[in-house]
Amino acid sequence: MEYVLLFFVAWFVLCLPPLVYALIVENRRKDNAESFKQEIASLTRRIYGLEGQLKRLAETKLPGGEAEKPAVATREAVAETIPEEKRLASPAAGILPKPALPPPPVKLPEPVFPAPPVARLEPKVVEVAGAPVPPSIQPPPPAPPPATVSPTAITGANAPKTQPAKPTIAARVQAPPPPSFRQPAPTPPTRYVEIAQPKKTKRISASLEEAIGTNWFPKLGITLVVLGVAWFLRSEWEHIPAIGRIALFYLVGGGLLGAGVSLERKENYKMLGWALIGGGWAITFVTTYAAHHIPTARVLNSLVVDLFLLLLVAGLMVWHTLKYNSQTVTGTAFLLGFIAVTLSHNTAYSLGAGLILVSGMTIIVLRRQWFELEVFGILASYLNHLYWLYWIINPMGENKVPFPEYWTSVALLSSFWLIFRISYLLHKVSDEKQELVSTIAALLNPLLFLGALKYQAIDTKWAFTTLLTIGALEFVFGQLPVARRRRLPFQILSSLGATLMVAAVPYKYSGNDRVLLWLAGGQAFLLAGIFAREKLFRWFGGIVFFLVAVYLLPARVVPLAEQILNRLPVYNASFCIIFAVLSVVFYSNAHVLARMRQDLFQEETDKQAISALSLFASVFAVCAVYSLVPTNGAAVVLAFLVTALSWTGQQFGIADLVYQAHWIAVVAIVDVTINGLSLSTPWHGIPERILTFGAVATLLYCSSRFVRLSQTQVKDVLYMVYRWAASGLVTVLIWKQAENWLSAVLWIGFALVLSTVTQALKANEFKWQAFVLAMLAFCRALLVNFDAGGAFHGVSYRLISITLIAGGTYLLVSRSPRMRLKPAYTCAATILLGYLAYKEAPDPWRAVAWMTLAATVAFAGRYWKDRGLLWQSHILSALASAAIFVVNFQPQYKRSILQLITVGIATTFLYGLTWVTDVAGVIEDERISQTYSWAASFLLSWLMWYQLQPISVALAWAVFGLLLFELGHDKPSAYLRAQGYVALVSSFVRIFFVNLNQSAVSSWWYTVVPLVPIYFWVYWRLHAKKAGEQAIKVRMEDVLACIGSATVAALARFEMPLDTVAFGYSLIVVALLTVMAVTRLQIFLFQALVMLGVTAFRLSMYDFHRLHNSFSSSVTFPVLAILVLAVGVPIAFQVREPKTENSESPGWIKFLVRSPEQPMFFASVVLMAVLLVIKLDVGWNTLTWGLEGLVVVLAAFFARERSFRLTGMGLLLLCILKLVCWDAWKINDPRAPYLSFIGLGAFILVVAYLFSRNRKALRENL
Amino acid sequence: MKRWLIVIGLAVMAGAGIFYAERRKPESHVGPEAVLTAVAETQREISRVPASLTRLSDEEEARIGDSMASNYSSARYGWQEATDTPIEKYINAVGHHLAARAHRKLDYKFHYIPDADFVNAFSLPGGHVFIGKGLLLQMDSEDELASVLGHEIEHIDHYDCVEKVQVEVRLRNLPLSGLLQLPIELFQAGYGKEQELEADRDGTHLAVMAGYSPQGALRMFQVFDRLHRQYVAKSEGPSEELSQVAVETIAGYFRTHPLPRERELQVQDMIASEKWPERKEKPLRISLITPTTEANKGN
Repeated sequence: MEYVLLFFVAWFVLCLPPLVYALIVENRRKDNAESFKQEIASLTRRIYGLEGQLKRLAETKLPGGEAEKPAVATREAVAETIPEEKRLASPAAGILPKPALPPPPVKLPEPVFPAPPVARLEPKVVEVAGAPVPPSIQPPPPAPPPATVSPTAITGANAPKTQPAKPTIAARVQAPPPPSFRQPAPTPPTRYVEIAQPKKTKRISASLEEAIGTNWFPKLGITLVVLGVAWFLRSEWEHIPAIGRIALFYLVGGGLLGAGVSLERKENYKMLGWALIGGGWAITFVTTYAAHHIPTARVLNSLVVDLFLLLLVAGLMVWHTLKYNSQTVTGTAFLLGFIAVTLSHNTAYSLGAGLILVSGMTIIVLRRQWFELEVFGILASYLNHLYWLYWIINPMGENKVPFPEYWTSVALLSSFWLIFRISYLLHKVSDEKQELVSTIAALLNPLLFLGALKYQAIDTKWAFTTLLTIGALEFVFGQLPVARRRRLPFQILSSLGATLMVAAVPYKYSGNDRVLLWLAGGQAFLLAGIFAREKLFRWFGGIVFFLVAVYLLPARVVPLAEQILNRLPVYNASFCIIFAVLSVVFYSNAHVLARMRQDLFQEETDKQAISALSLFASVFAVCAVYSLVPTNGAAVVLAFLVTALSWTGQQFGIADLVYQAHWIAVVAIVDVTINGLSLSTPWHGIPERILTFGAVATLLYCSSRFVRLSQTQVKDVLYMVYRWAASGLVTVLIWKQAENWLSAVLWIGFALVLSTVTQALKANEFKWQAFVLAMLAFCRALLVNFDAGGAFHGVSYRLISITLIAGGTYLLVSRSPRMRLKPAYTCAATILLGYLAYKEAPDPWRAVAWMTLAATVAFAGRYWKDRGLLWQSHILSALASAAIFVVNFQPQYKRSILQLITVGIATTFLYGLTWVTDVAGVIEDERISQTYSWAASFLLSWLMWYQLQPISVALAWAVFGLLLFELGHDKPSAYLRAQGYVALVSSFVRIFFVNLNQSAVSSWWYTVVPLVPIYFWVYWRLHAKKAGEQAIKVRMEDVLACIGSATVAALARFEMPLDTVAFGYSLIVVALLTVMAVTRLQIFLFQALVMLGVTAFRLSMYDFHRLHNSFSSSVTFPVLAILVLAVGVPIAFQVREPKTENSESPGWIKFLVRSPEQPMFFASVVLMAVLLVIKLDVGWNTLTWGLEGLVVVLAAFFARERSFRLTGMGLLLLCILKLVCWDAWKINDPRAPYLSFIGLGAFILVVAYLFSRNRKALRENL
Repeated sequence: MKRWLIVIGLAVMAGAGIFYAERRKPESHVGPEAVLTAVAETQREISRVPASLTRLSDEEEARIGDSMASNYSSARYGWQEATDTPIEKYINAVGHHLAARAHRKLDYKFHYIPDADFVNAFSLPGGHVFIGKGLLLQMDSEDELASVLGHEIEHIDHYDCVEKVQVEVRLRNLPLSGLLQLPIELFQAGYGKEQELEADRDGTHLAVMAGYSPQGALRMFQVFDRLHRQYVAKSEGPSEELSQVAVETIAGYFRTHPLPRERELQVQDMIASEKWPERKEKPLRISLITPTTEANKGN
């Protein structure tokens, strides 16, 4: 079981990945080779085809001796043989591209192109171009430009990839009869495209099919054979003796090998043959393995003999497979060899067989340049060895002890390493890919070698020696001439050696010794590189320096930083010395040595390395300062360092030093900010805080000058940063030293000083600093000064400080760094004053105070035409308005005089500000100033809502809206009118939520009814002047007319008893029709028609329903409603407007305008008919229907309306039908039948009479 | 000038209205009732034709109503219907006396909910009427009970109840088990304003036809009015008005009950127009409800 497991592990770990990789590489290579072969064949065929065609062309065209000219004619020569007009007539001739070759499979049979010769010429040219373009047409057209050539033809000509598969196309091209010059060809380009597209797909699918059939199927087949054999064995195992089983397996393996060798010689079965060969060798190898390792098949008792046989089989495999020059097959053979070693290594000596394999494989690798195989060999050999070690080391656990094969293992590993290293040195690569694989092998070798040594190591004391020795050897290998043949081995081996030697140091040395040792080594490498002019050595030195730096960062620098941050004592002289030495060495190397030998450090990477080295030097310099200088002076020393670096950088043109000064300056600033703020002791009577802040700020001001004069990038920005930082330190100093309420005042003072300095030094950044200081003072005033307690001679510090700050801020306006920032100053000051008002004024008067301030600011803005001030006025007004809503409308002020006065004053201010803020040229949009008016009107409306009874509010709004409308109408002012409209519409909406809810109280007559004339008055006013003004796009006059009528309808709906609502609606319909008849205003006609629909709906869905199933229903009001509608019919005749032609209206609207009597009439008739059905029994309702029909006919005669007449007649006919078909069978009342019949007959007679009498009139009417 | 005279006239007229309203200070109720009523009733009127066309048969309605009543009695409230208690018998006697005059001849059943906090009555499809103890405790006479029961009978008579389940049965083909999942609050919440007013009118008619005094209905609505004033919040300003409108718009769409005062006025108008004779009200058999009724009423 163990062996089986071992086999599968070895298979998966060792065999599968390289095998898969090798298969992929091999397949790719084969595909490329096949593709290349096809392309060559295609090109060859094309050349032959072209030669043949040119030859025929020359023979055909040139008479006599000209036919004897060379067969291969140039393209120009061919072109010259064609008459000019014919060449122009042939699109293909014009587009024939130089690389376009004739499709090789196209064989041009002679009968296809009969005489005349010229006519034969052009189709040939067409086919040469690859596109069956129709021949020229009589008369020939002018020469087509290339851009107008059929894209299909271009596709055909420029698509060489489609040409290898031309036989099918050629057949299709040749299939049609020869093209005639008198008849155009039947769209050949299209057909060509149609053919080409599926051909491409077919080609892809064919390629895939070929891959599956010739490559994967054989492999799958042999896999199945092997599995079948295995299955057979599993079934019949017990019945076959061991020797027989082994013989059987050898027979099968040999048979497969023979078949494979036989098939491999045939081109079509090459892949199958290779697969059979592989399978045969595999079975042979497995059989050899089974001869000892599988008990039931054991015929050999000696493991050594079996190992020998296994290696023999593997060797034979290698020998055999080399014949096929396939890395995959040979790799498989070696794989089996390594598996044999893996299965057999009971002792270390059995691993020696692996050494033999490796040696053999190395020879093959070097001869065949199969570097992938070497990678596989490295992996297999080392992993094989590790697997062997695993069974020895793993049982030991954590406590490794020496084992007998230790030194043997070391020797084996060393041998592997040496063999592969020598192999690497002897590699002869021919391309980049091989170099890459070779490099992978070169790196894998020491990696696995050292890994294996580490795994079996029992003591770390040998690590230093081992690493140093191997590193030295690798380094020496790198210097050998054989390595220097190619640049890459020299680089890799030297790098490896140097790395291993440096890595060896920590295993023996530690602490400062290690640092100094590395430093010395690095310096030695650097100097050697400079003197020997060997770049690699210089790089080694640089890498060691960086290693030192990288080592020191976590080991020394970070702990030092943690100590500083935790405010622990950091004084350490030894550290200081180390850091100082490092800093000096690094600075010297970076800026002295490198400047002395500038020719060696010209590359960009060298410069970057020098910059990095210099940066590390600055880090160590800062560390040295912190290791030596006490906390209260570190920032000052660092500031001195900043000044020194910036000066040096500026003097000698070393940008790196100036850049380092920047970050050190940041450290100094942070240090003084953190540590300096906590300083409270005096030094000779002067507070240390002032001294440190002052010194650092002064040095930063000085450094800014050197930074500005330096040749560094973004210096123009950074020197300002220095000044900003210095000023910031002064600001912080003021903040910490001064009293709370005073610091903001001092900041404003400092800002004034800075802005004054600006004038003297012409340094604009001080203006900016003054601006920031002003903003800081503003913020601090907001946060601190408003809560400041105490007073100075009775005047509170809040008042004094805020006034001073606001005053100073206003003074700074004239020294603003930008014009656009002036509003910031004024805003800040205004906010402070506004907030002061908020603090000082009582709650109900706060809004008034703000409104006063807003008015003042607005007046100032109007005077100076300052847009910012006007906007501040806007904001203050908005705040005041909000304050009114929040405060003045609180319940305790409800309906109070105070509320009335304060809101009234605020409203007055708002209306006034409408004029004040309307400054032409300053405020672009006049709607902003109009907003004041809107706000004022809104506040007044809101005040009415609070001050009046809920039921009165709508009326008050309506009156207010009326006044606003009239004012707006007079000025004229659209926004006032708009406010009036809003108020009027709001009043209308409100009655639905308050006034019409009061069904129990009759208040509608004095709270709702007065609204109606107001609405209609405004409507009338608008209608009278609408031609002159169209400020409001919405037809407000129509809206107002509608809400006027809707108010009346709503009164009917909500205030009248439910049974009478429809009656009320019908009265409104008639009233509206009457108004229409009097005023000729069409809006009322539309309203009447809408109300007619509402009435009909109400009657049918409410009243008629109630009549059906309610105890308390009454037929009176429905009948009255219908009668009123009927009365409206004559009025509707009066309002007809047959000449109305509104082209924008839909047809049904035009119809209603022309014939409003029709809906009136039909609604009345239908409603009455339904009512009769509901209310009367069967029979009686028929009779009444007859009566209704009679009345309708009479009315029709009177009105001379044909539709009425037809309706009456139809109703009568319906009565007859109903009576015969329904009533006769359903009537219960014994009287009803005959009465119905008689009555209906009478009615119909009367109608008949009427018709007879008025026949002539009817004819005229018709 | 003429224009300004008209404007001044309009303003004076409106000002007079405002002045009169301010002096009189009529009771005002702010809310969306008017709009909601209009919308709800319009919706109902639109659905009248479909409702008539998909009407359930009386048998179907009775079957559904029986199941819903049984389910409500046992599952929702955890009490078993006790038809043999004196109070149940009493309510059934009054109810059947009224139902005999209804348009629809159904097997009416009247149920008593012994919950003093349930100040309500409602009806289910098929003739089931429920009345709570809380509501009975508010009554003084049998005529008041008759007006309430008549009101609920008329909801059944007008198909108000069955129309609530009609859509589920006819259009969605909901089985009986699905109908039982309908919340009973759907029926307890009542109906639209016009439906309620109509049920008031016809219920009062029914009570009068059964020999009861219409004063019972009047007194019942006076009790409702008192409770309404007691429990319904009154808005004090624009913000409260707006919030009240918002809340009632959301919650009150399906429950646009008329104000009790409006219902009372309607009955008064009916008494005047129908010229119903004055009758002495019959005493309510209070002892059947609870021996401490008087004490509860005092609270």
